[in-house]
This record gives sequence, C-alpha cells and structure tokens, in this order.
Amino acid sequence: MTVAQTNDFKIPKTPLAVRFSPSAVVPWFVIILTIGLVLLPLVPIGYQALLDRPLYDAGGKLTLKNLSDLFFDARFHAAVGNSLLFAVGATLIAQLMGVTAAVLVGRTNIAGKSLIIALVVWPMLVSDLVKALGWSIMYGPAGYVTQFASLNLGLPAWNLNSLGGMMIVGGISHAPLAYLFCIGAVRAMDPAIEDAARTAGASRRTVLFRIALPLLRPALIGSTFFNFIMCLETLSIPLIFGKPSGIMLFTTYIYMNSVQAVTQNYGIVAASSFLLLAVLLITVKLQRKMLGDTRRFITVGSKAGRQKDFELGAFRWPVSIATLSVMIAAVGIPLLGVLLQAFAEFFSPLIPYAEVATLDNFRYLWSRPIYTRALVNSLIISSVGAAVGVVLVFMIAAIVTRTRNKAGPALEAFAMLPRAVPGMIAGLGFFYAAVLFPPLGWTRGTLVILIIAFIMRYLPLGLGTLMPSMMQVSADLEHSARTSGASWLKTMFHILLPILKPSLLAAYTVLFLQFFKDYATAVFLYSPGTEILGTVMLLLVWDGHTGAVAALATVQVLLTFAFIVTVGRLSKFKLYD
Amino acid sequence: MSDVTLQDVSRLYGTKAAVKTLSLVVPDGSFVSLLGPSGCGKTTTLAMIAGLDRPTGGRISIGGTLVADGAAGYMMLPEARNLGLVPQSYALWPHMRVSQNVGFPLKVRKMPAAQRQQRIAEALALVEIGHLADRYPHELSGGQQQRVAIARTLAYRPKVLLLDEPLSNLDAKLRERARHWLRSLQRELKMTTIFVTHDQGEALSLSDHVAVLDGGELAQYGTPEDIYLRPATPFVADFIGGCSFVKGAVVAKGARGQPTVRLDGGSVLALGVQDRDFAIGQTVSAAVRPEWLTVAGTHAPNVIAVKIDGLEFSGDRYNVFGTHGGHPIRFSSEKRIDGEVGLACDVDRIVLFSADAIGRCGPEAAPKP
Repeated sequence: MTVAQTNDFKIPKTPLAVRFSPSAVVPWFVIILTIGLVLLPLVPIGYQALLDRPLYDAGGKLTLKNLSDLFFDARFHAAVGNSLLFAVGATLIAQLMGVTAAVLVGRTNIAGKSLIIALVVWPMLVSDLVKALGWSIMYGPAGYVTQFASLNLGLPAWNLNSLGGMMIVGGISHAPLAYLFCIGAVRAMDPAIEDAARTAGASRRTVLFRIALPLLRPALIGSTFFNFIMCLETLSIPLIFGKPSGIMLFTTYIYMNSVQAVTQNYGIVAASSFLLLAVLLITVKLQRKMLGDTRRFITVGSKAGRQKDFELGAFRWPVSIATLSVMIAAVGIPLLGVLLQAFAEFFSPLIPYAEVATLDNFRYLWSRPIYTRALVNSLIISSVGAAVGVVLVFMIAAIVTRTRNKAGPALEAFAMLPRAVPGMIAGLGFFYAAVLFPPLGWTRGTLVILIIAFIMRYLPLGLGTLMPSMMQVSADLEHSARTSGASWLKTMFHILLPILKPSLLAAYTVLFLQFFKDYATAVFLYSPGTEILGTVMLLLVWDGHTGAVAALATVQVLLTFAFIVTVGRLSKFKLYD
Repeated sequence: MSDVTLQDVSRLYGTKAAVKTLSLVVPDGSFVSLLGPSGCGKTTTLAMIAGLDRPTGGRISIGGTLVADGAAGYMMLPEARNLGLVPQSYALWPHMRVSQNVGFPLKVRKMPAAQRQQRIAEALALVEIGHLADRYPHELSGGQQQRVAIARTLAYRPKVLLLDEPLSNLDAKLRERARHWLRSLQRELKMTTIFVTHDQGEALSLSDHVAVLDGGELAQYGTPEDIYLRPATPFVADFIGGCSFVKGAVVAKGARGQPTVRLDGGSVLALGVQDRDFAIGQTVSAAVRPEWLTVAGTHAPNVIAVKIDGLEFSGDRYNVFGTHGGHPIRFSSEKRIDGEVGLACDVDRIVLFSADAIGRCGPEAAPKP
C-alpha cells in the first residue's frame, strides 16, 4: 500500500512552536474591549449623579444634592409610581397574550397554524414608535376607529391616553417577545415526560400545572423579566399616550428634563438615570437568582418524540379566528392607519379619504434635507454597525464557548449586562464618556459614537442569536482540522466560519433591524448632520407632525421588509424560527 | 521513526490533577491502547499528545522531536506535529463533501491538485468507500462516517494515528467488524497508533500494549496477556474482566514462595508463584475471575465452599452470585444450582494482593445501596 510510504511533501513551517501563543493575547484584548465598552457609559452616569455641576465644567465637587432634589420632587415620585404600575400591567398583558399564543401554536391543533406562525413575529420588526403611532392614529381619542365607533355604532369613546390605555398598547407590542421565549420551550418538551406523569396516575390538569408549566419556568421567568425591563425603558408609548394627558413615566421624566428642557438639569437627569439603572440591574440579578441552575429544567433523554397536539374539537376554528382577529386589530389595523395617514393631510371618518389623499407629507420630507440625511445615516449605521457588531459578538462567543479562558464567564456576564441598560441611558452615558475621556472626544458629532453606543446596547441580543448555534458546533471539528495541519487562522476561515455562516447572517440581520428601528439610544448622541430616522421621527412626534411621521414610518417599514425579503432570498433562512 | 514518549507528564486544572506524572513509551509501528473508566485521564493524555491541551509538567516527544515541555512552557502547535486524530464524534466537516474532507489537509499542505486527487482516491479506496466521494457527511451511516474520518487522516500520512473511542458510536455488530478491519489496516500500514477506549474487550483484542489508567495515573502498562493474567493492582484486576476479591491470610509458603491461603470462610487454597512476595500470617485478598471457577464437590482440595444467593440466566449459562465467609463471589454455571456448592479453582492463575492494597476498588468498597 502506498499510503504507508514516507512523507514526500513538505510539512508546513516545521517546527511551529510557541512559548507564548497569540491565542492567549487575542482573548484578553477582546475581554478588555468588551468590559470597557460596557462600563464606559455606566461609570460617568454614576459620577455625574454625584457632581454639583455638568462634568465638562471645571471645579466640580461631589455632592448628594442631586439625589436629594430627586427625593423631594413630587413629579419624580409620580413618574416612578406610574412607571412601575405601567410596567407591571403591560408585562402581565404581554405575558398572557404571548404565552397563550405559544401554547395554542405549540401544543394544540388550532386551525391555520402556519399562517399564525408566519404573522406572529412581524410586529417585532417594527419600531415601538411606529406601533404606538399607529395605535394613536387608529385607537387614540381622536383616532379613526374610535371616532368611527362612537359616530356610527354609538359606542362610548374610550381613552387610550391613560395609564390603562398605555398598559394595553405596551402589553400588545411586547407580546411577541413572550411568544418567542416560550415557543421554543413548549416545542422542546419531551412528551415522554408527560406520558410518564399520566401513567403514574396524574390527571391532565395535574400534568399541566405540576409538570408542564414548571418545565416552562425558565422561559416564563426569562420573558417576564425581559418584558418588564422593556416596559420600564420604553419612551415612545408614554410620549405619545402619556404626554397629552400629563402622565409622566421614568423615561419621559428624563427626556423632558434633558432633551426637551430649556436648560438641562444634568444632575437630576444623571441621578434619575442612575436610579433607573440600579432598579434594572437589581431586576436582572433577581431573575438570575430566581432561575437558579437552569439545568434543572432541561429535559434529558430521547430525541424529542412526536408531541401529541391537544384536540380543540369544535373550537378549532373559533379559537383560530379569535387569535387572528386580535393580531389584525393589534398590528394590522394600526399599520394600515400609519400607511393611510402617510398619504393624507387629515385622516378621519368625518371626511371621505379621496378628498384628503395627498403626497404632501412625502413632498415635505423631500423638501427638507434633514430627512434624507437621517435616512442615509440610518442605513450607514445599520449596515456598518451591524457588521462591526457581528465581529465583536463572534469573538466574544468564541472565547466563551471555545476557550478555557478563566475570564470567560465574567466576559459573558459583562456582555449580557446591557440588557438592563435602556437605550436612552446608554446614549446619555456615551455622551458623558465622550466628554470625560479625551481619546473618545473625536467621535462626538460623528456617526462613530452612535455605532459604538448601538453595538453596546444590542450586544446581548447579538450574543443570544449567535451563541446557541455556536455551542452546537462541536469543538472536535476544529480540533481535527488543527491536528490535520491547518493553522488557527485556516481553521477559522475554512471550518468554523463556513459552518456558522447562516447563524452569522442571522445575527447580522437581527442587529441591522434593531439599529435601523432604534430611536432612544441616539437621543443624546446625535448632532446636526448625524440625525437618524428614529430621532427625527421622535422630534416630529413631539411637535405633533403626525402626517410627516407616518410618511417616514412608512418608508422605514417598507425598507425593513425589503431588507428581510432580500436576506431571505440570499440565504433561505427564517428569522426567529 | 515515530515512537511517542511521555516523560512524567502531568495536567493540572487548578489544583485537580487530570493526569499525574505519566510516563509511557509507545514503540514505532505499534498499536497501544489507553484504557480506563471515564475520568481516568485517557482523553486528556491523547489531547496533550495531539497538541490540543498543554501539559503542566513533563515532556512529550514524537519521533525523537520534543513537542511539549510543561516546565519550560514549550508547546508545538497541533498543526505542526503531523498527527492524525479521529475523534469520538468523527468530526467530519459538515459543509464539505467526503472528497473535500479528505482533501482539506492536503490542500493545507499545498499539494498540487493532480497529486491531491490521486491521494484522495487512494485513501478512499483503502477504506473501501471510493463510491461515496461526492456525498456529504450527513448522507452517510455511522460506519461510513468512521471510515471517512480514518481516510481523512491516512491521506496525509501522519506520523501517528490517534483514535479517541472511534468504535463507541457504532452498533454492536458493526463494532466487531470495524474492530477487525481497523486491526488489519493498522498491521498493513504499520502506523504507530494510540487508541483511547473504556472497553477492555476492544483494548485486549486490538493492542500490542495496553496502558491502564486509574485516576490520572498509570496503573499498569503491558501486553494484553500481562494485563489480564498478571494484574499489577486490584483496580486493574477488577476493571479488566471483572474479579471477586476474597479475603484471607497466608498460612504457609512453598519452595518458590508459592503461598497457601486460608480464606475467611475456611477454604484453603495452595496458589501458584506470585509476582509479589507475602509473609506468613499476612492478610491478603485473592482476586478470582469467574472463568477460573468450576462447580465441583464440596470437600476437595483447592475448592472454595460457596453459599448461593441468586442466579441470573444469560442464555448459554447462569451467572451465579454467592458468598464465601461473607465475601461476594461471582461465577457461572451451565446448570441451575442452589444451596451450597464447592468451586474448584484454577490456583495457578489466582492473583494475590495484600489486603490493604484493596482501596477504593473491589467489592468491599462498593457503595451500599
């Protein structure tokens, strides 16, 4: 046999030996970069909260006055109370809707299942600002549907500009998240576990409450906390529904005392941001504690057998129609409202649409260079920022899942920290950081600082998208490449990256969409020339230019859909599957 | 020459030692098994030879070239060692066809395309799967995947073949066929092979030498016959083939030191020559394999009187569980038996250990249910 003969070709660069390998240096670089990125905005907020004047003014002294001012500000008390009430109510609604949908889709024979699956995540792709706008256009006090109902059906006009109304809007816009968290867990449940409980004498009811739901606990707790945090940090809903009726939340309190204030009160803004951060970090900590060791919930055993769907019987169609109706009412009609408003100067059931239909809103946008500039900036930030973000996310995931680096767990914890940092506060922190640390000064007034802030803000999301698939790729694949002669670099480019290509593309898409629809992170960071879609829309909402916002929102939503269709064509992957 | 030498190799994780001062010479062209239960350090040892893990102490050399020195912090990268690794999962690259899998290491070595094609065809023919060259890994059965993994390493002619439990993912029948095939392939190629397994049957039937690892330490290194017939420690005796340990005391010694032992239950055995020396009066444990015992009359010489506790039918025979002086004894019988029986012993094979050598292993230490 010829194979056993001596080597007749050269072995690469022998002897390739190291005393100090580069693979020991790169991880530390990434670890320091990540921890720096996460701490950079947070530390200055704490510092400013304890400073008696803006941090760029010389001679600042440490003080507790900011905190005590806050403590005696009745408006702040009201904002905190409202925020907590709103977050609890909206989270409950979101969970109830999302978990119900997950169980209906995951475990019952509901009719039209594939249609529901296809539609249920679309609301995630649209900015909260646009959804809230749509709700206001359709269901607000002067909304089309509200007016129509009270005029033609004699129904009493409801008032969404109330805490209860805000809870409904918030709950509905965050329900898809609860669904996504739970659908995976519902599907992964091993039917044998339930069968075992049934044969051991448990009734269906007992199985549901003692076996099935406890196994869903990580998903339930995870989504509840995540939604609670999202509700605490939301800015668009209190701005659109709270401002007209004078209901202020934590976020609007900060927003009005800074961006929209005649003289910014830096101390108050930093102190309240600092408090909100503290509340959120404690919430995250609490969540980890409540979950404990998640392995307790992993169902061990056979390849998931075929789950038996719960038979809905005669209710198969009614339940399906009810579910679809809720989805249409909650998402379809508001988006239709945005579209119709975009092409009308005034949108009301009192006037026939043909009489108000116009392209004026778009002409207005076109006539002001700021809007095209914002669109171009948004596209640049999303495409470039998401690419840089994916590289960082990949390196972090590689260190956490691929090396035995002792700092791996700490790196993961730091990288996941920003999920407790609201976008607006991250932006504020980077604004301070750019003032405080001269090396960052040059980024002020450029798109770079926006990209940095966005990457920090959505680091947890990117990791959450990439890490599970990375953990599924066996390290053996790289080990055998290395022993068969491929260098670390060649192993990366020929083995790991090609295998991960679909997941990397998914992470890029998710980051792109988040960057594209974000409006809160940039509030403190943009300057003339670096406006983005979100910030100009927020200003238009503030000024009450509903037609122009609707037109911009239409452009944003259409571009989002175009992007997803293109990515889908390129890779045939399904987002959020 | 591609012998592999490990000299006092250790691997610490924090304070916990996965491998402790392991010394081993794998001669050129031989087939050596690293055998032990899970957690004994065999896979860590293989990883250190491959360059995927770094020894914290000791030296490893391959074919006379130093590849790792724990104390000096020196380590040759895995890609420079020119070894062939077949991991337990086979680790076929899922995005490449079979021919691309086999060709990738050649491409990395910048082999011209024509020669590469020839080499791929040769390697695939050698493992008899030439017809599968255009398939993707997920389109292959477990046995075929294993062959691709081996072809992939053979194609570039590594100095040493490292196999990490390559048979454990195959079903029982296929495993036996693969075992024969692997052995004849290795004989044909005369390639130095290190084979990691927890299956003693595989280790004994395939290897020229077997290294038994116990808790990160080398318990015994020898030919399969040595390991089986002359276990150096109670652990080796018990792990390879299974043993009953019966306590007793040395009562007399023969001309060449052959001990006579009175077991705790009263039976007396005159044993053959032992590797270790024992004093008269010393308490000892006799390691008895089931296949060294045959059912006989109760009161003959060299017979152990056993009270039977239970039977298990295994098709061609019964596995019998009994006790002698309170010590469990396992043996087999062709017929259903009951009550008390005498067991004639192959006294020349029984191995004696001093009673205090029976540490964590052996029936005495088995956790009580």
